[in-house]
Amino acid sequence: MPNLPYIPETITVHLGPPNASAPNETLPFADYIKNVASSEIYPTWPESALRANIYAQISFALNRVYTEYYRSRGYDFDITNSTGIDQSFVYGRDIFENISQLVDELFNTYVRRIGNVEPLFTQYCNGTTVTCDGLSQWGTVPLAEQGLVPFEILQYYYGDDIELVRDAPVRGLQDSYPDRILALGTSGNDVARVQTRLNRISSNYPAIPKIAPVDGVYGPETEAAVRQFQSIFNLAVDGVVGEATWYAIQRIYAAVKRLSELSSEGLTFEDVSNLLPLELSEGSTGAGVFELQYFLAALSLYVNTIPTVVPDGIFGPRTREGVIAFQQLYGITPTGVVDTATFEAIYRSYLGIVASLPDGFFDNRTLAYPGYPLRIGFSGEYVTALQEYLNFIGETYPQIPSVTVDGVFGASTQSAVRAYQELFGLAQSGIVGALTWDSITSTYRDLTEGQRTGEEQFPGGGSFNGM
Amino acid sequence: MEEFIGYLIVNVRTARGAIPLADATVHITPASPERSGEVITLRTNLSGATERVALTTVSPSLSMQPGSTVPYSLYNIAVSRDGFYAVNENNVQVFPRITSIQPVNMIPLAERATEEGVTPEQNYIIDESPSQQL
Repeated sequence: MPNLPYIPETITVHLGPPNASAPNETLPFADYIKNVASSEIYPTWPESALRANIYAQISFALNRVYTEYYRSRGYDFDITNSTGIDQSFVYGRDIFENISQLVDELFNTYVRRIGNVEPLFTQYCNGTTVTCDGLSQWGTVPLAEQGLVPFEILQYYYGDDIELVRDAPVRGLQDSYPDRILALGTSGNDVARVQTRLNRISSNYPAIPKIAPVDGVYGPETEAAVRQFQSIFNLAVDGVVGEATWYAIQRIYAAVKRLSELSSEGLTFEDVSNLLPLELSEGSTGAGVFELQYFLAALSLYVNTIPTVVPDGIFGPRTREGVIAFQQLYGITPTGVVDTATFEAIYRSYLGIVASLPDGFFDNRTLAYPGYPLRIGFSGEYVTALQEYLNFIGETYPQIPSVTVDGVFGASTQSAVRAYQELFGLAQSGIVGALTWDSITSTYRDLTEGQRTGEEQFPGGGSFNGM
Repeated sequence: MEEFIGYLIVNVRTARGAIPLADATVHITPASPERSGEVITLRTNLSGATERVALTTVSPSLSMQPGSTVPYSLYNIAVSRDGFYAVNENNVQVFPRITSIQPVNMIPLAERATEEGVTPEQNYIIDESPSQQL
């Protein structure tokens, strides 16, 4: 069990009772709660009742995650949608806008018993056909109509000795919420970060206007981009980056980045082949397995119920899960073994994905980490690349001094590295290990990708009147 | 007879939200044929979103206390877009005075999908009926 509860970046939901053979869906925690809330309660209820129910749904799920209830019993998911034991979750359903905005505000708040650490196991039931020792969903409506605030409603059902833990740490973010609202007139590195992220998102969502220059000053251009982002992602449109908008920007940015990693890591299109040497199954190793895993990783970026697979060339249980999920989806007998027919189907699906991406998608590549840390005294092509990346980043973040691109790691390169590390919250060693290299290349790709104007349309038909 | 109105926006994307799909065709129909209602046809904008459409639904009083009548109306949504497998979202709930946001994740057609071979179309019919009554 981890030390302190946190909000996970994603949660994996089993779409059936624990021992039933059923797909799993992995999705961002806030999106999971939006689905649960839309499935468990009615959006027409008074707001106080909605909030109380949402707090209970969040705490219930966090308790399952924090206690590793299913994981510790050998299951490969965090929670199920079996309503007798967990919470309702309807795959693919519509989400109610008012509930969506409440969850965006509340998703990192949970209930706990005073003196305890773990999120409270907030059992609840409908209160009519089922009664229980916990919140009654129907009961919250008259309580809210009587004027009780959400916390009072929770105390009514769970006792007085509870408290709400707000602003729980959210996992999976590169940096945490800056603890201040960003709006017209504010400036700083946190503003520059927002501008960079919005520009990167706008390369995929061209209705969001580009912010140029990325100068860390929240002016009218930044406000316009924020408003457009809020409108597209169904947030309250106020042009201000508070917590809800900050976390939404992180979620969308993470999705955009995950997809772009397809091009920057792993195989280029030219590397892959459709030649399957022999049947692949659990225990197989080698280049054929690596290729299979790469295809599955690409498919998992497009299909909710195919789990992520890390390409490592070893066909283990996770790879087998991915193969089974694919086979189930495509109506192939789910053996978990990759025969010619399965490989064909996977490969053709992968080609379909590649065909749907714009030209130039695979061009935005940086060098992969060389496998050893770069430091003073080193020289060569990786140092040259490092200096180019730092200079380019320095055009947006002036705190990073420019360096001569000469392929030699000297004192000025070390200063630039330290400046980058300080700015981006890394240990200021002046040495470029894997973490620093990945951060620098990621920031570089964001800035180059973000500067691409939205002229490319994703192929597959349709046109847009050039803007 | 008083008419109650709810709202619907459809967000059509691919790559699990990373890429919006403009110019997707969206057909909205009442889920049960007995209910009158024309087919509403929309196209998505640059951000993959339809406009917010008004749809008839039932009285808000039905959702304020337990009862046997479902307090929402159901609609079916059919989405198609060149280069992608079609998606049907069935039994989408619409409440009075509430906006429903329907996310649609589309998957690119596999290469040569129109030739004989295995296609996942049968799996892209998503039924949003709830598993329990409140």
